[in-house]
Amino acid sequence: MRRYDIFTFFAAGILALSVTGCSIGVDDIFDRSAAERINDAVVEYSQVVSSSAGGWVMEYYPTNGLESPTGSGYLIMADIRPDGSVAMAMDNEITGGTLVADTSMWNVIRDNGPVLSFSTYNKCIHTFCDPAIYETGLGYEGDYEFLIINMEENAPQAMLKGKKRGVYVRMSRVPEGTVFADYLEDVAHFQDSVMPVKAVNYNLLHIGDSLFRIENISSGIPNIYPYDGDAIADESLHPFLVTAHSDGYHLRFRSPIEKAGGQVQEFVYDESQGAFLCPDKGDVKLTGPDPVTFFAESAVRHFWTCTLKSASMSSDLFEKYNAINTDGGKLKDKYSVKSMQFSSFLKSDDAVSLSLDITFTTSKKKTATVSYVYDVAMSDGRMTLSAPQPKDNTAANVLSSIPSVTQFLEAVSDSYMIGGTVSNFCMNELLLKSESGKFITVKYSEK
Amino acid sequence: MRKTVYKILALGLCMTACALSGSCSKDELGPSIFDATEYPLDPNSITFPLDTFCKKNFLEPYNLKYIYRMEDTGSDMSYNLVPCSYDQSVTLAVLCKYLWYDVYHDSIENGELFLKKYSPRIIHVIGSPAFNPAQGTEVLGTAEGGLKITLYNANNLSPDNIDYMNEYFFKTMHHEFSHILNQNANRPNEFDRISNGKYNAVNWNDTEELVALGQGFVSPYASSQAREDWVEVISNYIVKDTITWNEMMENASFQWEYVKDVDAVYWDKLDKKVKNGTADRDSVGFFVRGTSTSGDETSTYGIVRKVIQRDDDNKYAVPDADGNIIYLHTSGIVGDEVIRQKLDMVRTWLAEYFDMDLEKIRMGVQRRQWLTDSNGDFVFDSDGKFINNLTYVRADGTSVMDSLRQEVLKFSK
Repeated sequence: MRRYDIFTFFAAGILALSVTGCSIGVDDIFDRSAAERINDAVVEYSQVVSSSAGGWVMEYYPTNGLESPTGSGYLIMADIRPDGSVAMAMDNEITGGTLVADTSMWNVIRDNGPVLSFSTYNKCIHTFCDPAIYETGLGYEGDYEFLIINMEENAPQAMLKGKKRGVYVRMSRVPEGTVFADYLEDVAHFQDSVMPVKAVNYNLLHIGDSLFRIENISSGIPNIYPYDGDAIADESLHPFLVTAHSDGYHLRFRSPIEKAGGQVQEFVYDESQGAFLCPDKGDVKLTGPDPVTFFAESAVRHFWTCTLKSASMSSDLFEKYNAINTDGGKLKDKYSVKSMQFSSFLKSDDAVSLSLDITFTTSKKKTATVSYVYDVAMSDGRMTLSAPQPKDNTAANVLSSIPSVTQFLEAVSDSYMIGGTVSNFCMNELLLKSESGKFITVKYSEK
Repeated sequence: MRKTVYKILALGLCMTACALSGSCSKDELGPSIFDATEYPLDPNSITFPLDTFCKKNFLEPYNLKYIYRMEDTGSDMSYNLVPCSYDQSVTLAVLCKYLWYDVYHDSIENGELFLKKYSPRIIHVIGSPAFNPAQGTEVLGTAEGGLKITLYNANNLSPDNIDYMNEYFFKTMHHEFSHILNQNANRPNEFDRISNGKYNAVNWNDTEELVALGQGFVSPYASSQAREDWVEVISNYIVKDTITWNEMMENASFQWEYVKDVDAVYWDKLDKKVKNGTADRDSVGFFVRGTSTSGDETSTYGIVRKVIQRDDDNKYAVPDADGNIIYLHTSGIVGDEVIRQKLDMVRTWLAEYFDMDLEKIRMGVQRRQWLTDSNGDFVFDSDGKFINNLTYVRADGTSVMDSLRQEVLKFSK
């Protein structure tokens, strides 16, 4: 009886397991097979990528490196057409500053997911991948096949990822009728004017209350480190590119910058503020240095040379400047002003001072420089110059001989707003302007 | 009782079997998940002309896929490579047909069947060279499993320069194709024994071309291993014109050596004599392959020279009593004889296994790449050199290349 129970149980168990094994079914997660879905994706992405009537601007970085040229960013314009052709153009250091344009083929291939492949040679994008260019065997190490990370119909942008190097490449649609050469020239002109290579100043990244110093921004791979930090010990390099969009010029770093507990990557230029603002993050912006601070810092080791032209000075100042020449011309050796420079900014616990050096030349081709020292007050982005005093006896003697110097020095005594004449990203030339409309232009010069 | 138990057990097993067989029966195979539809070529595609040319001339007759849109999954991922341009792909495609497929087709009885059987199934065209920066070498082409041939550096293909074109492309094609033939019919064991012990699989690329010739190899790469030696004999013989081949055999009849650290004083002295015409260049060799410097001055040279009887310092020639140079074959090898022996083996093997006349193939190639007159005789320029048939401008102002490209362009809208 006991055995009978065991076998009954055994048989029932097998029966139950057998039935259970068949009855459990797993629902398909996808409604179609993987092959069908990737085929559909290829068709869909092919349509989307070739749907931009004006083409795309690609923010292309050959590698994730931090050294130029392989780590630098390059703009590549691409008109990806439905007939399988792609017209590309670029103009950068690698092309020697000339426009290079070429037409080749593209297609979306089935790979590890849909991949956008520029599948025949193009002088633009393949320059970054050709092992015979730059370092033999390696080239610039760039990609020409890209995983499609994000590409939606009518979306203004698409995101790709280099298949071999893994660098993200953003593509933005450009308006229909855009001439690639004009687009590239426009962006280059913007960069040249706002942050030219010759700019002598650093820039600033503001993230809330945190401040970071940006050096070498014109190289495209700036060093961004804490304002009070060390450029070498705290080095943090961040390649970026500037692109033009309907809402203005965008500056986008290759990767998000993680600083002050947050991430920032993209900025839009605000002309009225002369700054790149971070959308949706009101306390994040990219600016030039504080002009007053930069003026004062620079005047410690360098000169700010006054531009002695009528257009570069307000009329009242220019009149008084001319009066110095008139009075000086009456002297025996005919003194005239050769140059004027602000220099020797000094800051101590109880006083801040700035020197205005006036260099005279005489009819005997001799030169003499005299200095007058202003008291300086800096607050609320303004710099106030007051109480000019001759630095030495020679300077005092000049005041006696040429009384109009005193009048000029007193006229300069005023409270000034300071800003770059082009933008605050380029402080090679500054405009000192008072509330009354008095102004004077000064240029950065090496000692 | 026991019977009852067995019955129950049997019943259980039967039900299990039924259940299991039932669950298996659900796995019915449906249609393939892959899209096997054969789509017609899109006439609106910008690549329609070349795609059509390849379909009609390669795919349909020989089941050969000419891939010019580079597929990096089909290439060696350890190299940095770029695709070929469309225009260069067109040039290479028409030349592949003209200098390779058409030659085999026309030169072999049942050439079409031969190509259907032995042609690679894929030609993969790569635009850039395949550099190996670590070794300082460059791969010209590869053949995989008798199915696929990869050709590199196609962006630098230039029909203007037959020698360069042969070295990089057509020699490679015949080389790789010969590998495929060799994969279908073993080469004779005797061949491997001819240069046994002389192969250098590791440092073959350091071997000077003249030294290799003197050792009985048609190229330094041929000296790497027997299988490469075998196909290098075929490919070099096919693409090299008779003048070049005869020069090779002449050079191969001597033994050559590479001598490094030849002091500059010795060399400059010889060089001066050579310039003055007072020295026999051939007695010493004169091919500088490397220099070392001391400060700004060249201190030593590396030279390739013939092996001759020299003085105790192994510098100056010691002629015989009549003043003639005494050429030596210290290795016991006479290169040209060895190469001719290998060539005979190759010729016999091709005829025996593939009914293929090597001379006919060779002349087919030569007559297509060099200009011939109406009698089929080669035409030479004023320097006695062959004339490029591909780019030669004919009376009507066109060239063979124009006609070949037209075979693609005719499919344009």
